[in-house]
Amino acid sequence: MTTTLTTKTTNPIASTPGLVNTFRSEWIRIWHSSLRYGGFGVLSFFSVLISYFIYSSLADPTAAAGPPGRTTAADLEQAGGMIHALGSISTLAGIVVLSLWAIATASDYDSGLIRVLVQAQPSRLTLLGGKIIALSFFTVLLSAATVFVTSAIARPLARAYEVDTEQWRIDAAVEMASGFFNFLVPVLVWGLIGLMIAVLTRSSGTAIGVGIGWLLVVENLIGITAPDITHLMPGGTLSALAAGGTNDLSWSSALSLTLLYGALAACISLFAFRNRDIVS
Amino acid sequence: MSAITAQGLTRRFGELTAVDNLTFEVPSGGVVGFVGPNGSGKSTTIRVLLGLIEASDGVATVLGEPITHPERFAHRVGALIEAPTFIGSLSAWDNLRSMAALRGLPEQRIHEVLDIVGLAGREKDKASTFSLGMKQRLGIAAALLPDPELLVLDEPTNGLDPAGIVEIRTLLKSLADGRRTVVVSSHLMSEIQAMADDLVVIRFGKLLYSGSLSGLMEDAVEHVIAAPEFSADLPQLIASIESRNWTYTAHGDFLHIEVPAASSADVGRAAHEAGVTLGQLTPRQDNLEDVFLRLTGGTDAELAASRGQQRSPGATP
Repeated sequence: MTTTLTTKTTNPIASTPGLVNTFRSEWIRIWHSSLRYGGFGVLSFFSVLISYFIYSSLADPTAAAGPPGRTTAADLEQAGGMIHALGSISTLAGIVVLSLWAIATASDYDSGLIRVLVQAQPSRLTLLGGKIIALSFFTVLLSAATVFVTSAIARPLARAYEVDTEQWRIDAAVEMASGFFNFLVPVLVWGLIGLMIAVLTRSSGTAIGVGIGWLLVVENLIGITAPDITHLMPGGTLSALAAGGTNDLSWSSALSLTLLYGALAACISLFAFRNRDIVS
Repeated sequence: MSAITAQGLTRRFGELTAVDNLTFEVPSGGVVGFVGPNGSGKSTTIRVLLGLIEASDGVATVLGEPITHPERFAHRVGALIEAPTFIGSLSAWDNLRSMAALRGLPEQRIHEVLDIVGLAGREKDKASTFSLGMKQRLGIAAALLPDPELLVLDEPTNGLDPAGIVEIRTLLKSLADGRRTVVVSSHLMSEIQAMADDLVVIRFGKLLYSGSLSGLMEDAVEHVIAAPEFSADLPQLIASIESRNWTYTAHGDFLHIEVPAASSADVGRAAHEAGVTLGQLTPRQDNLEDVFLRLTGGTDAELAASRGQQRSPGATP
């Protein structure tokens, strides 16, 4: 359409950058009780539960090796064994974070809040950018809490199941940091995928359904029909990174591919949000 | 300067033209009614003006700025678009704090708007516990946060009981001081008539009228409604009216006679001369709804039938 050219007016109240304002606004909405307690509660629960299953299902605490894919006592006794469970928690955490990001995004459409937000901040890239930053910060806190719970529960479990923890002191800080990184990055990308599906479908229920359906159904079907590419699918790649790399996908390849999936999800989200009409 | 101008504003959804070549001007200051039946394109027009959806064609400005650059006027505009929207699990204060943060406003402003809408003291309550009227007031409070020059409220009295409607009406009239323009969209013509200074009337996405309420009401017709005490006397009453060449329409025993309201004495006299005792004699002036129906030539159903097609242009996909 044609436009009438007029003199641009300055915004006298916008003393702080739009992205900072958007982040602060989004944070108030994210940091409310149901998302906060729901997110931290569910991830802490899974951390404890999966850690317990890993320790309680050790066939032979002294065995050097076990069935393929099964955690052994030797695995847990290594440096970094304190957070070994994070690799197994990662996929469930990914689903939780995907759901949280999808809810935080699609509920703006479900409730109609998106109309008010876009009217108040017409720069949609700023609006979604602020949301992504706020949700990322929330996810960092969730991941830190998960790492903390996992490491905190590891020592009593190791004592109960007679796992030697002598080597856990070796490079503990480095192991914790790398474990945190390998856990956080895939989980963040799961969140971005949830955000992308929510922006496209504008429904939290549909977004969660599509996300979980892809991970649990579609990738498994692809695994049956084309097993050679399963490890390159989002679920396979993110799991590989969380596990610190696998035989099929090295850590560096997994990281590159994970970052590519994250960038793709962010770009698709921003493009769709920038260009589509705001309707409920 | 006009608060809003539109020239040939059009919005199409596929083959459906929801807003059809609208040209109008909203003057600054006062309450402006944006009137039309449900599905007439009011909400779509508001969304186009506020930059939520793009126009298919035409030019429009809000506070002198083109609608293609909403970032230039967003900080001077407050809006309540359709139903008020909040996170129910958050308190009224936190909901407003979130909106104030988005606009870069200090928290002090939240106290001010809560005072204005009469919700001071309820700010710690969760939004989900609010009645519909309180939610509407909270929505208006959110719209007032930037102390806007233009306040756009889409159906602000929807779903309210009569007391709530009066409450919101009084509030809106108080908000429309000389500096601020309040645009109120509604399908409730009686509401708009009670508060608006100017009107933009649309139907099927097309403009029917743009101008002052008093200008439109100049077309209002004065009636006298008369009914005989006994139905059997109706033919004599009709004969007496026809003998005076008065125009009338019959609705059962009730005759709507188009004479100035001051002439009800004449109608009474005519009935008396015909030997008819009247059971009812009521002077009445057309309201906005009557004028609107006269302007459009009938109800939606009648008009749609005459157009040979049924459409709902305001429905957004």
